[in-house]
Amino acid sequence: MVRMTDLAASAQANLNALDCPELGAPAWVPPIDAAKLKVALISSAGIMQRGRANIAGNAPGYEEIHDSVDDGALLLNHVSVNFDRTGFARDVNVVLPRARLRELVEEGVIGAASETHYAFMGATHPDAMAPYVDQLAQELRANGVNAACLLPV
Amino acid sequence: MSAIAHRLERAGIATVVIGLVKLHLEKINPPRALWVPFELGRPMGPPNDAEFQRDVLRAALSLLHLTRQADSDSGVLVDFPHEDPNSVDDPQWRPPAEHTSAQAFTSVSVECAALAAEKSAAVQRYGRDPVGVAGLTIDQAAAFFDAVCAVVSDDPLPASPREDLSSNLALRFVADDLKAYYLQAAAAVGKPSSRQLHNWLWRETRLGQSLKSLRRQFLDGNDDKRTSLGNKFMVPRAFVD
Repeated sequence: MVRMTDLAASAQANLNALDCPELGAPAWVPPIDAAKLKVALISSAGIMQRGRANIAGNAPGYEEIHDSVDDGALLLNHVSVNFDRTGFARDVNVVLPRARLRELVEEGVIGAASETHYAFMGATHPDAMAPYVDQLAQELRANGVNAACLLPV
Repeated sequence: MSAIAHRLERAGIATVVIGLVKLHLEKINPPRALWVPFELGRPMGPPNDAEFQRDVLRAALSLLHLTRQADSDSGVLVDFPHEDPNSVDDPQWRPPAEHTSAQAFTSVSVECAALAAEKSAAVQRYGRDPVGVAGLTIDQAAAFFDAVCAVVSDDPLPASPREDLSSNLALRFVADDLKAYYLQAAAAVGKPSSRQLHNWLWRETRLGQSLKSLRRQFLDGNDDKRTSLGNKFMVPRAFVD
């Protein structure tokens, strides 16, 4: 599965038919100096931590993944079976590139990586997620995070 | 996620989306997006290719330095120019030894046991185990799955192996863990593409055949919850017969 044209017809049809919200012109945060960028990662892969509660298929909130949590503790609990999981199974960075982000800090591409990253269950309507996104924004600001890289699956 | 990007940007957090479906990026119009020509499930491209992944992340984060044109209603959308090198099949890869046919195994439990050595080797190779969402040992998971496969028509499913989960939900998690177990085992050697791994699972294993058979049984039954489970949460669309 690569581009839409490489997908099975049923998968293409499903993606084409998905209700995409019309959100108009996006807001725009002016450019931030690289040295001042502190970046958090936000996944939609329904990542859970081993031994903790499973994530409901329609969960509107997010999981927090602290830097101290080893990749080995992370599992994919997403409700969809229609995306590849073998990449994540071999390397968590395919979905949540914490190690890559740290390396880019060392390169000077950004100033710092957030100590905590986040994962939503990516099968929920945006309206239901809105209050949790607002909560996340507050948490990011409180932690000095001024940028986020979002990685849908 | 593009909708989340809109909301975070309004809250003063600069955002960039690494997106896999260009149509959705165009329609939802997040502030900044890097479209990547990779398969669903792999926003960063190939596993265990740190240099390539850094290129992807570098390209995405570079969009945070752009200045938007005044009066523009459009977000920034840039295409990442490189294909995932792991999207090409590994010509040297072979399925796990002894796994030439699903008919060789009388149950998923027996098939799992036959894959144990490869699974262990894969965990050692990659330093991680993707199995665990069901919160059971693989033997427990396989035993429950085999018991479900023995159910006829709309007869009750066996009792859930977890007190906090319904049998339907336990089955969904067990299926996920069994698939993860098999696919990890099959990736113990070489650099198989996801296509090679999934083709093997769904066409050559008892697990793949059993999942497809359960799906058909659930769709033909009269239990709405099982129908939904079979329809949406067990077999990828690409492998529905």
